[in-house]
Amino acid sequence: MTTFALIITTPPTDNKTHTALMYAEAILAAGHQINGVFFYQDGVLNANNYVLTPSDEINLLTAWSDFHQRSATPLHICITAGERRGLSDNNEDGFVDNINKNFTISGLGELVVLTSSADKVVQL
Amino acid sequence: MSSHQIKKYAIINTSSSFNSSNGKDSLDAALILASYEMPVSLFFVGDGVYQVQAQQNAEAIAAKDYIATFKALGFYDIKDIFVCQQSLTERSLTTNFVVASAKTLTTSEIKQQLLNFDVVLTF
Amino acid sequence: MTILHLVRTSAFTDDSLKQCLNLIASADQLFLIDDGVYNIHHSLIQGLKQPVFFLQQHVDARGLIAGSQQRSASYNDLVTATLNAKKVITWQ
Repeated sequence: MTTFALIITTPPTDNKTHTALMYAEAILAAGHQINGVFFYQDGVLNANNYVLTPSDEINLLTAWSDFHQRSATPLHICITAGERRGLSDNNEDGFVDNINKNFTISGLGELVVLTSSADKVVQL
Repeated sequence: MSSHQIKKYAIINTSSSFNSSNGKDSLDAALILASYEMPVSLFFVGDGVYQVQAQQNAEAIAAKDYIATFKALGFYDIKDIFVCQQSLTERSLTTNFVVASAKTLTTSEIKQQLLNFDVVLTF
Repeated sequence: MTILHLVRTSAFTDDSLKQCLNLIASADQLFLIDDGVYNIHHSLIQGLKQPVFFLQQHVDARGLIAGSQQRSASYNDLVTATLNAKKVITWQ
Protein backbone atom coordinates (compact mmCIF):
# COMPACT_ATOMS: atom_id res chain seq x y z
CA MET A 1 0.00 0.00 0.00
CA THR A 2 1.26 3.43 -1.00
CA THR A 3 0.45 6.69 0.75
CA PHE A 4 -0.50 9.72 -1.35
CA ALA A 5 -0.75 13.41 -0.51
CA LEU A 6 -2.88 15.51 -2.85
CA ILE A 7 -2.77 19.27 -3.35
CA ILE A 8 -5.81 20.83 -5.00
CA THR A 9 -5.79 24.42 -6.21
CA THR A 10 -8.90 24.63 -8.39
CA PRO A 11 -12.35 25.91 -7.30
CA PRO A 12 -15.63 23.95 -7.36
CA THR A 13 -16.63 25.81 -10.53
CA ASP A 14 -13.75 24.22 -12.43
CA ASN A 15 -14.14 20.74 -13.95
CA LYS A 16 -10.48 20.05 -13.10
CA THR A 17 -11.63 19.73 -9.49
CA HIS A 18 -13.85 16.84 -10.56
CA THR A 19 -10.76 15.26 -12.13
CA ALA A 20 -8.99 15.56 -8.79
CA LEU A 21 -11.86 13.86 -6.99
CA MET A 22 -12.01 11.02 -9.54
CA TYR A 23 -8.27 10.54 -9.15
CA ALA A 24 -8.61 10.46 -5.35
CA GLU A 25 -11.37 7.84 -5.69
CA ALA A 26 -9.18 5.76 -8.02
CA ILE A 27 -6.30 5.82 -5.52
CA LEU A 28 -8.51 4.39 -2.79
CA ALA A 29 -10.17 1.91 -5.18
CA ALA A 30 -6.71 0.57 -6.02
CA GLY A 31 -6.15 -0.15 -2.33
CA HIS A 32 -3.91 2.79 -1.50
CA GLN A 33 -4.22 5.49 1.09
CA ILE A 34 -4.39 9.29 1.01
CA ASN A 35 -2.91 10.83 4.15
CA GLY A 36 -4.59 14.09 3.34
CA VAL A 37 -5.94 16.37 0.65
CA PHE A 38 -4.63 19.91 0.98
CA PHE A 39 -6.78 22.61 -0.59
CA TYR A 40 -4.75 25.68 -1.49
CA GLN A 41 -5.35 28.83 -3.56
CA ASP A 42 -8.84 28.72 -5.14
CA GLY A 43 -9.13 25.10 -4.01
CA VAL A 44 -10.26 26.29 -0.57
CA LEU A 45 -13.57 27.39 -2.12
CA ASN A 46 -14.54 23.71 -2.21
CA ALA A 47 -15.18 23.99 1.55
CA ASN A 48 -17.67 26.87 1.29
CA ASN A 49 -21.01 25.76 2.76
CA TYR A 50 -22.81 28.52 0.87
CA VAL A 51 -22.03 27.19 -2.59
CA LEU A 52 -25.27 26.14 -4.22
CA THR A 53 -25.49 24.28 -7.51
CA PRO A 54 -28.52 23.54 -9.72
CA SER A 55 -30.02 20.16 -8.88
CA ASP A 56 -28.97 18.63 -12.21
CA GLU A 57 -25.29 19.47 -11.68
CA ILE A 58 -22.70 17.85 -9.45
CA ASN A 59 -22.15 19.65 -6.15
CA LEU A 60 -18.48 19.16 -5.38
CA LEU A 61 -18.93 20.18 -1.74
CA THR A 62 -21.37 17.30 -1.34
CA ALA A 63 -19.08 15.02 -3.32
CA TRP A 64 -16.00 15.86 -1.24
CA SER A 65 -18.03 15.52 1.96
CA ASP A 66 -19.25 12.10 0.87
CA PHE A 67 -15.67 11.14 -0.05
CA HIS A 68 -14.49 12.20 3.39
CA GLN A 69 -17.24 10.35 5.23
CA ARG A 70 -16.72 7.13 3.29
CA SER A 71 -12.94 7.11 3.47
CA ALA A 72 -12.08 9.24 6.54
CA THR A 73 -9.52 10.97 4.33
CA PRO A 74 -8.62 14.30 5.97
CA LEU A 75 -9.52 17.36 3.86
CA HIS A 76 -7.41 20.33 4.92
CA ILE A 77 -7.96 23.90 3.84
CA CYS A 78 -5.35 26.63 4.03
CA ILE A 79 -7.18 29.14 6.22
CA THR A 80 -5.11 32.10 5.03
CA ALA A 81 -6.14 31.34 1.44
CA GLY A 82 -9.70 30.84 2.71
CA GLU A 83 -9.96 34.16 4.51
CA ARG A 84 -8.82 35.95 1.36
CA ARG A 85 -11.75 34.33 -0.43
CA GLY A 86 -14.51 34.94 2.10
CA LEU A 87 -14.27 31.78 4.17
CA SER A 88 -14.59 32.27 7.91
CA ASP A 89 -14.36 29.95 10.89
CA ASN A 90 -15.81 32.36 13.42
CA ASN A 91 -19.20 33.80 14.21
CA GLU A 92 -18.03 37.12 15.61
CA ASP A 93 -18.29 40.68 14.37
CA GLY A 94 -20.74 40.03 11.58
CA PHE A 95 -19.00 36.91 10.31
CA VAL A 96 -20.62 33.51 9.95
CA ASP A 97 -18.72 30.25 10.06
CA ASN A 98 -19.22 29.00 6.49
CA ILE A 99 -16.57 26.27 6.38
CA ASN A 100 -18.03 22.82 5.93
CA LYS A 101 -17.43 20.52 8.89
CA ASN A 102 -15.95 17.77 6.74
CA PHE A 103 -12.94 20.02 6.16
CA THR A 104 -10.18 20.69 8.67
CA ILE A 105 -8.91 24.22 9.14
CA SER A 106 -5.15 24.14 8.63
CA GLY A 107 -2.25 26.26 7.50
CA LEU A 108 0.55 25.78 5.01
CA GLY A 109 2.47 23.85 7.67
CA GLU A 110 0.04 20.98 7.05
CA LEU A 111 1.11 21.01 3.39
CA VAL A 112 4.66 20.35 4.56
CA VAL A 113 3.63 17.59 6.95
CA LEU A 114 1.42 15.81 4.39
CA THR A 115 3.82 16.03 1.47
CA SER A 116 6.89 15.07 3.47
CA SER A 117 5.26 12.01 5.01
CA ALA A 118 3.57 10.66 1.85
CA ASP A 119 5.18 8.27 -0.65
CA LYS A 120 3.64 10.16 -3.58
CA VAL A 121 2.71 13.81 -3.90
CA VAL A 122 0.34 14.88 -6.66
CA GLN A 123 -0.76 18.44 -7.31
CA LEU A 124 -4.01 18.80 -9.23
CA MET B 1 5.39 13.92 16.67
CA SER B 2 4.32 13.37 13.11
CA SER B 3 6.11 10.98 10.84
CA HIS B 4 7.33 13.50 8.33
CA GLN B 5 10.85 13.29 7.12
CA ILE B 6 13.24 15.55 5.32
CA LYS B 7 12.54 15.61 1.60
CA LYS B 8 14.06 17.69 -1.15
CA TYR B 9 11.59 20.04 -2.82
CA ALA B 10 11.72 21.84 -6.14
CA ILE B 11 9.22 24.55 -6.89
CA ILE B 12 8.82 25.44 -10.57
CA ASN B 13 7.40 28.89 -11.17
CA THR B 14 5.79 29.30 -14.57
CA SER B 15 3.56 32.33 -13.96
CA SER B 16 4.28 36.01 -14.50
CA SER B 17 4.54 38.32 -11.50
CA PHE B 18 1.09 39.78 -10.97
CA ASN B 19 -1.45 38.21 -13.35
CA SER B 20 -2.40 35.65 -10.69
CA SER B 21 -1.48 35.00 -7.07
CA ASN B 22 0.71 32.07 -8.14
CA GLY B 23 4.00 33.88 -7.54
CA LYS B 24 3.13 34.95 -4.03
CA ASP B 25 1.42 31.66 -3.13
CA SER B 26 4.46 29.77 -4.38
CA LEU B 27 6.80 31.92 -2.32
CA ASP B 28 4.64 31.42 0.80
CA ALA B 29 4.86 27.65 0.30
CA ALA B 30 8.64 27.84 -0.21
CA LEU B 31 9.13 29.84 2.99
CA ILE B 32 7.02 27.43 5.05
CA LEU B 33 8.89 24.43 3.64
CA ALA B 34 12.18 26.11 4.52
CA SER B 35 10.94 26.88 8.03
CA TYR B 36 10.36 23.13 8.47
CA GLU B 37 13.97 22.67 7.39
CA MET B 38 13.12 21.09 4.06
CA PRO B 39 15.71 21.83 1.37
CA VAL B 40 13.96 23.92 -1.29
CA SER B 41 15.20 24.95 -4.73
CA LEU B 42 13.32 27.46 -6.86
CA PHE B 43 13.11 27.28 -10.64
CA PHE B 44 11.77 30.02 -12.88
CA VAL B 45 10.76 28.93 -16.38
CA GLY B 46 8.49 30.32 -19.09
CA ASP B 47 6.70 33.47 -17.93
CA GLY B 48 8.03 32.66 -14.45
CA VAL B 49 11.27 34.37 -15.43
CA TYR B 50 9.46 37.71 -15.22
CA GLN B 51 9.16 37.22 -11.42
CA VAL B 52 12.90 37.56 -10.81
CA GLN B 53 13.50 40.61 -12.97
CA ALA B 54 14.94 43.64 -11.16
CA GLN B 55 13.27 47.05 -11.50
CA GLN B 56 9.72 45.79 -10.95
CA ASN B 57 7.40 48.12 -9.04
CA ALA B 58 4.48 46.24 -7.52
CA GLU B 59 3.24 49.28 -5.65
CA ALA B 60 2.54 51.10 -8.90
CA ILE B 61 -0.36 48.69 -9.48
CA ALA B 62 -1.28 48.18 -5.81
CA ALA B 63 0.09 44.64 -5.89
CA LYS B 64 1.76 42.97 -2.91
CA ASP B 65 5.51 43.43 -3.28
CA TYR B 66 6.43 39.79 -2.66
CA ILE B 67 9.25 40.28 -5.17
CA ALA B 68 11.19 42.14 -2.45
CA THR B 69 11.14 38.94 -0.36
CA PHE B 70 13.25 37.15 -2.99
CA LYS B 71 16.19 39.19 -1.69
CA ALA B 72 15.69 37.64 1.75
CA LEU B 73 15.59 34.00 0.59
CA GLY B 74 19.14 33.49 1.84
CA PHE B 75 17.96 34.09 5.41
CA TYR B 76 15.54 31.19 4.96
CA ASP B 77 18.36 28.98 3.67
CA ILE B 78 16.91 28.96 0.17
CA LYS B 79 20.08 29.30 -1.84
CA ASP B 80 19.32 27.54 -5.11
CA ILE B 81 17.47 29.90 -7.42
CA PHE B 82 17.59 28.82 -11.03
CA VAL B 83 16.34 30.77 -14.04
CA CYS B 84 15.78 29.23 -17.47
CA GLN B 85 18.16 30.79 -20.00
CA GLN B 86 16.02 29.84 -22.99
CA SER B 87 12.95 31.53 -21.47
CA LEU B 88 14.99 34.70 -20.86
CA THR B 89 16.28 34.71 -24.42
CA GLU B 90 12.82 34.16 -25.92
CA ARG B 91 11.59 37.19 -23.97
CA SER B 92 14.59 39.43 -24.70
CA LEU B 93 15.36 39.62 -20.98
CA THR B 94 18.71 40.15 -19.33
CA THR B 95 20.16 38.50 -16.23
CA ASN B 96 19.55 41.62 -14.17
CA PHE B 97 17.81 39.68 -11.40
CA VAL B 98 16.23 40.96 -8.21
CA VAL B 99 18.23 38.34 -6.32
CA ALA B 100 21.93 38.44 -7.06
CA SER B 101 22.52 34.76 -6.31
CA ALA B 102 20.10 33.54 -9.01
CA LYS B 103 21.82 31.41 -11.64
CA THR B 104 20.79 30.78 -15.22
CA LEU B 105 20.55 27.20 -16.45
CA THR B 106 19.88 25.74 -19.88
CA THR B 107 16.86 23.47 -20.26
CA SER B 108 19.10 20.41 -20.32
CA GLU B 109 20.73 21.56 -17.08
CA ILE B 110 17.30 22.04 -15.49
CA LYS B 111 16.29 18.59 -16.70
CA GLN B 112 19.37 17.17 -15.01
CA GLN B 113 18.71 19.16 -11.81
CA LEU B 114 15.15 17.83 -11.53
CA LEU B 115 16.51 14.34 -10.90
CA ASN B 116 17.70 15.52 -7.47
CA PHE B 117 14.31 16.17 -5.88
CA ASP B 118 11.73 14.10 -4.05
CA VAL B 119 8.80 16.45 -4.61
CA VAL B 120 8.21 18.94 -7.44
CA LEU B 121 5.49 21.57 -7.12
CA THR B 122 4.44 24.00 -9.85
CA PHE B 123 2.82 27.42 -9.58
CA MET C 1 13.63 6.59 -11.88
CA THR C 2 11.27 8.59 -13.97
CA ILE C 3 8.95 11.56 -13.77
CA LEU C 4 5.27 11.47 -14.64
CA HIS C 5 4.32 14.70 -16.39
CA LEU C 6 0.66 15.70 -16.24
CA VAL C 7 -0.45 18.30 -18.77
CA ARG C 8 -3.87 19.82 -18.09
CA THR C 9 -4.13 22.70 -20.55
CA SER C 10 -4.29 23.14 -24.32
CA ALA C 11 -1.07 24.25 -25.97
CA PHE C 12 -3.28 26.44 -28.16
CA THR C 13 -4.03 28.43 -24.97
CA ASP C 14 -0.80 28.52 -23.01
CA ASP C 15 2.72 27.12 -23.06
CA SER C 16 2.46 24.44 -20.36
CA LEU C 17 2.96 21.66 -22.90
CA LYS C 18 5.97 23.46 -24.32
CA GLN C 19 7.52 23.90 -20.86
CA CYS C 20 6.88 20.24 -20.14
CA LEU C 21 8.47 19.10 -23.41
CA ASN C 22 11.50 21.31 -22.76
CA LEU C 23 12.17 19.38 -19.56
CA ILE C 24 10.85 15.87 -20.24
CA ALA C 25 13.45 13.10 -20.30
CA SER C 26 13.24 10.19 -22.71
CA ALA C 27 12.34 7.75 -19.92
CA ASP C 28 9.64 10.04 -18.50
CA GLN C 29 5.93 9.59 -19.11
CA LEU C 30 3.62 12.22 -20.62
CA PHE C 31 -0.02 11.99 -19.57
CA LEU C 32 -2.69 14.34 -20.94
CA ILE C 33 -5.73 15.08 -18.79
CA ASP C 34 -8.45 17.76 -18.73
CA ASP C 35 -7.91 20.30 -21.56
CA GLY C 36 -4.47 18.76 -21.96
CA VAL C 37 -6.18 16.14 -24.16
CA TYR C 38 -6.66 18.81 -26.83
CA ASN C 39 -2.93 18.37 -27.42
CA ILE C 40 -3.30 14.85 -28.85
CA HIS C 41 -2.92 16.18 -32.39
CA HIS C 42 -0.68 19.16 -31.59
CA SER C 43 2.44 19.42 -33.72
CA LEU C 44 4.58 19.75 -30.58
CA ILE C 45 4.05 16.10 -29.61
CA GLN C 46 4.43 14.62 -33.09
CA GLY C 47 8.18 14.08 -32.84
CA LEU C 48 8.11 12.75 -29.28
CA LYS C 49 9.99 9.49 -28.71
CA GLN C 50 7.84 8.11 -25.93
CA PRO C 51 4.14 7.21 -26.17
CA VAL C 52 1.63 9.84 -25.11
CA PHE C 53 -1.04 8.71 -22.68
CA PHE C 54 -4.42 10.36 -22.40
CA LEU C 55 -7.41 9.94 -20.13
CA GLN C 56 -10.03 8.30 -22.35
CA GLN C 57 -12.95 9.86 -20.44
CA HIS C 58 -11.57 13.34 -21.09
CA VAL C 59 -11.07 12.67 -24.80
CA ASP C 60 -14.60 11.26 -25.08
CA ALA C 61 -16.08 14.21 -23.17
CA ARG C 62 -14.58 16.62 -25.68
CA GLY C 63 -15.58 14.67 -28.78
CA LEU C 64 -12.01 14.01 -29.80
CA ILE C 65 -10.58 11.00 -31.57
CA ALA C 66 -7.06 9.97 -30.65
CA GLY C 67 -4.55 8.72 -33.17
CA SER C 68 -3.10 5.23 -33.11
CA GLN C 69 0.21 6.44 -31.66
CA GLN C 70 -1.42 7.61 -28.44
CA ARG C 71 -2.36 5.35 -25.57
CA SER C 72 -5.80 5.36 -24.02
CA ALA C 73 -5.81 5.24 -20.23
CA SER C 74 -8.24 5.11 -17.32
CA TYR C 75 -8.04 6.73 -13.90
CA ASN C 76 -6.73 3.43 -12.60
CA ASP C 77 -3.96 3.58 -15.22
CA LEU C 78 -3.18 7.11 -14.01
CA VAL C 79 -2.81 5.79 -10.46
CA THR C 80 -0.52 3.03 -11.74
CA ALA C 81 1.54 5.57 -13.69
CA THR C 82 1.95 7.58 -10.48
CA LEU C 83 3.11 4.48 -8.61
CA ASN C 84 5.63 3.67 -11.35
CA ALA C 85 7.13 7.16 -11.37
CA LYS C 86 9.48 8.57 -8.78
CA LYS C 87 7.62 11.87 -8.78
CA VAL C 88 4.94 13.81 -10.58
CA ILE C 89 5.11 17.24 -12.18
CA THR C 90 1.76 18.84 -12.95
CA TRP C 91 1.94 21.48 -15.64
CA GLN C 92 -1.08 23.71 -15.17
